[in-house]
Order: sequence, then C-alpha cells, then structure tokens
Amino acid sequence: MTSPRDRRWLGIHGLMGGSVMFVIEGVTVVGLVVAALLISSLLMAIF
Amino acid sequence: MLIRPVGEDFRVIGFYLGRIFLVVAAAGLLPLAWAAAAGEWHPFGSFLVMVGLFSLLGVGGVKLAPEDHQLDWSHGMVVVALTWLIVPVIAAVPLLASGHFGSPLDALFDSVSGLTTTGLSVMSDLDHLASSLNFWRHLLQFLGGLGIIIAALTVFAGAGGITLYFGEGRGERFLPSVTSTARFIWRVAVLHLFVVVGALTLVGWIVLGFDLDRAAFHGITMFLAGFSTGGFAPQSTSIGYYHSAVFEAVAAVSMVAGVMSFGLHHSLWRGPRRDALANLETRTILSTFGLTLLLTILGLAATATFTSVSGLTRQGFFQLFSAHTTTGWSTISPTELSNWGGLAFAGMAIAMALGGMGSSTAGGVKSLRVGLTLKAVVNQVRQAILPERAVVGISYYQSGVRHLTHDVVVAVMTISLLYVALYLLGAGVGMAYGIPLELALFESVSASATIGLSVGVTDPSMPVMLQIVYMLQMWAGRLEFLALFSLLGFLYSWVRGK
Repeated sequence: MTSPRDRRWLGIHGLMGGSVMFVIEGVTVVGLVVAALLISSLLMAIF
Repeated sequence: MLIRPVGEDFRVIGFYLGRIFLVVAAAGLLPLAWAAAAGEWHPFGSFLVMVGLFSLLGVGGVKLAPEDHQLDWSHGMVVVALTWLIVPVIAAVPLLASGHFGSPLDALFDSVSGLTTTGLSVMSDLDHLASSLNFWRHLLQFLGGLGIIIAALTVFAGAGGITLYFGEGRGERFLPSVTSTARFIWRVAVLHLFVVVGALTLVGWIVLGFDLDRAAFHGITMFLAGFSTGGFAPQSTSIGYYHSAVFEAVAAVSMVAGVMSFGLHHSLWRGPRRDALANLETRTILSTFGLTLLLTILGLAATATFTSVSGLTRQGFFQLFSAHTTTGWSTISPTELSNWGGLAFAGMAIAMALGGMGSSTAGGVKSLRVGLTLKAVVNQVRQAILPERAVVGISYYQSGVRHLTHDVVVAVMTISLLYVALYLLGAGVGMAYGIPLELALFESVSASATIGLSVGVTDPSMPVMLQIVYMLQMWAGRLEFLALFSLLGFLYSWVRGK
C-alpha cells in the first residue's frame, strides 16, 4: 500500500521532483566550479 | 563464556541469506535480458549460470525455514558479511567467462571492486567487452552502492531488518520503518535514473554526435557508476574518453546525488529544507572540499602542471571532485596522476581518505565523523584552557540539535582510527613489494575508501597478495568494519564456544 504522500513520488510528480533535485545538484556543481575557477585564477596570477 | 552457535542459528542465517540471494538472482535477470536483446549468446549463457546459482542458493536457504524467524543483532551482522562475501564470487562468473581476465582471482577482484563501488580494475581490453557484460559491471556498482541488503529489504520486510540495515554501513533511518527507508532510497535512485540518464543521453546524442542507442548505453552505464560513486566507465580511458566538459558537468551531477546522504535527499524532498545547509555533515563536506581543492590547485599551480586557468580548473576540479565524492572517474591517465607531486597529491589523498557523507553511496571515513572528531578535539582544547571545575557541553546540528556524548565520540574515533589503520595496511603491503610510499599510500586509500582512482599500481600484473589485500580493504571499507568483526566473532565462538 502506498500513502498519498508516497504516491507523489510516482508518475509526473516524481519526474518533476527528480528534475528539481537535478537542478539543485546542478547548481551545486556550478557553484563549486565557479569557486574552483576563482581559486585557479588567483593562484595562476600569483605563480 | 562464549556460546557455540547451534543448528537453529545457522538456519536463521541461511534463511535470510537465501532471501537476499533470490533478490540478487532477480537483479541478474536484467543483464540476461540485455544479452538476449543484443544477441550476445556467450554472455547470455554465463548470466544464465549465474542466475541459476543465485536461485539455487536462494531456494536452498529459504527452505531452511527456521521455527523462529527473529534475526538478532549478531545473526544480522553475519548475514550482511556473508552476503558481501558470497555475492561477489557468484557475480564474477560472467566476468570470468568473458575471457577478459587472466585468472579467477582477477575476475573476483573486479567483482568485489564493482560491488563495493571502488572502481579499480584489472580487466584486459575493456574497450572490446560485450555490452551486456559492461552493463553488468555497472549494475553491480549500482546494486552495491545502494546496498544489496537495501534491495532485499525493499522487497521483504520483517523482524530483524534494522540489524541488516545498519550492518551495511548505514548510520541513520529517517523514516519510521526500515522498509519505508529502503523504499525511499530506491525511489531517489530511480527518479535520478530517469532524469540523469535522459540528460547524459541527450548530451551524448546532440553534443558528442553519438547514435541514439550508443548515447543511451553510455548514459545508462555512466549514471549507474556515477550515482553509486563507483567509478567504472564503459571505456578504458574513463570519463576522459568523451573529451567533453558538458558531459563531465552532467556526470558530476550524478556524483553529487550519490555523495549526498539519503537523509539529506529526504530533507530536500520532504523538508525541513533548512537542514540541508544547517547540518554539521553538509558544512563539514563543503569545508573539507574547499580546503582540499585549495591545496590541490595550489600544488598544481606552484608546479606549473597546467599552463592555462581553464585547464587547471577543469582538470584540478574534476579529479578532486571525483576523489572527494569517492567516485574515481578520471580525465587523465594514471601515469599523469602519479606525476602530480607534493601538495596536489596530498590534497587528493586527504580528500579520498575523508570521503563523502554517511548513509550515501560514498566511502571513506565520512563527513559526519570528520565533523564530530573536530568538535571533540575543540572540546578537549576548551576543557584544557578553562578552569578545572568548568563543565563544557558541546552540541551540534544534524537534523536537530544533538549533544556530543562520550559514547558518540568513542564510536566515531574508533571507526575513524580503523580506517586509518586500513589505509596504512595496504600502504605497508605495497611498500613491501617495492612500491614507493607516496604511490602505495594513494592506491591503498583508493581501495579502502572505495574510490577507484589509480596511480598505476592496480593492473593485471600486480602481485597476487597485494590484490587480495586490496579486496579485503574494499570489503572492510564498504561495510565499515562492524559486520566484519561480527563475522570473526561468530567464527571464533563456533570454534571455541561451549
């Protein structure tokens, strides 16, 4: 048996939720890459 | 007094093992169907043998049907340890039959490496492996990353499930029952499967110019390895095969999803969302990632390993990200990685040793333990500074405010020290074979923390003893020691008990 809350995971709601998670995780990656870019630029300028 | 296990103990263990083997047999039907669809009849035969063996053991175990199905703590731990010993052996059958391995031990090595989500490999000529076998390698990582026991608990509920759950290196249960927690974990995985495989397939098809079916194959296999922080790839040059920053970025999303604890997934999905950033674990992993990134890029910049900012950022970031998430994908060759000396090498090794979040698919010491260790150290320093009678309490936020008790500190320190000992064990054995300290330590940490990045020590010609030690390290590192010690205790009481 699935509860109403569990059913939100199924079908289109689930895919939408998965897409939202994908965006959150994507933003995390972009944020970390930007941080890496800033550190690299700074250190390349120093050395 | 040690109590010797009796027949009923073995029946209980056999019964639960049998149930788990039946679930793994069902998972084995996927590569079997793949081989049939692709017309790969030789692998099809070997998958049939594998599924038959799992089914035979499964039915045999279930038929033991003990009078009391109650699984106590020690039984549960022994079931987990034996599951993770027996499943890789049978899962290695199709790999061995492929002809891509020099010996049964080599095939077992890749099977253990796959299930423990390590990603080290001694396979020859991976680029010409049958697609169904390649799929099986990646499915092994997915199954191992989420947990064989989790897979089984999703299907069958029952008393004792919580023991099995914790025995597989899971530290938290964020829903009322273990079964609902296990099902939540699988839902997270399946939702990511659809979205990330779709994204990777689109990138492969549109950006890389692959045929749609080839793009889908690479999308599926790379997702299975990325989400499980496993690090296998369908090509021998790992993710470097694609030569695409866009593909690497999308693949990195699957690594983020894998390194996040399922408790954090739960917070993001169902709230409270503030937990995501307030938790000690999240803050610790972001801090350690920042520090090791700084160390690595500083080392690379100081030695002028890369001449452009874009090259330094892309290569430095991706290798470190792969190391800290314990995935093990690489955009550079093992030889190039072994030439990263000094600070860059240290940054990578520290990131690997610390690992990802607890209750995720990642390995290593785990961020929560690292954060709690630092808190405990700070507490010790404060106590040393303050007057003798001062009482210093210390709390932290992890899905709610918690107090750092003496018991928690002891548990955290014990597991952390065991990881350090495991790292040193493999390094010592490697050095005994004449491998330089730096390389031996790197490869040992890579095996123990289930990373998979290699500096060239792991290859088909590596010494047999070193291969066995790495397998033990992968096994102990994945199970976080508890089940391993329980199995040893069970065997000891069987021999010496009364």
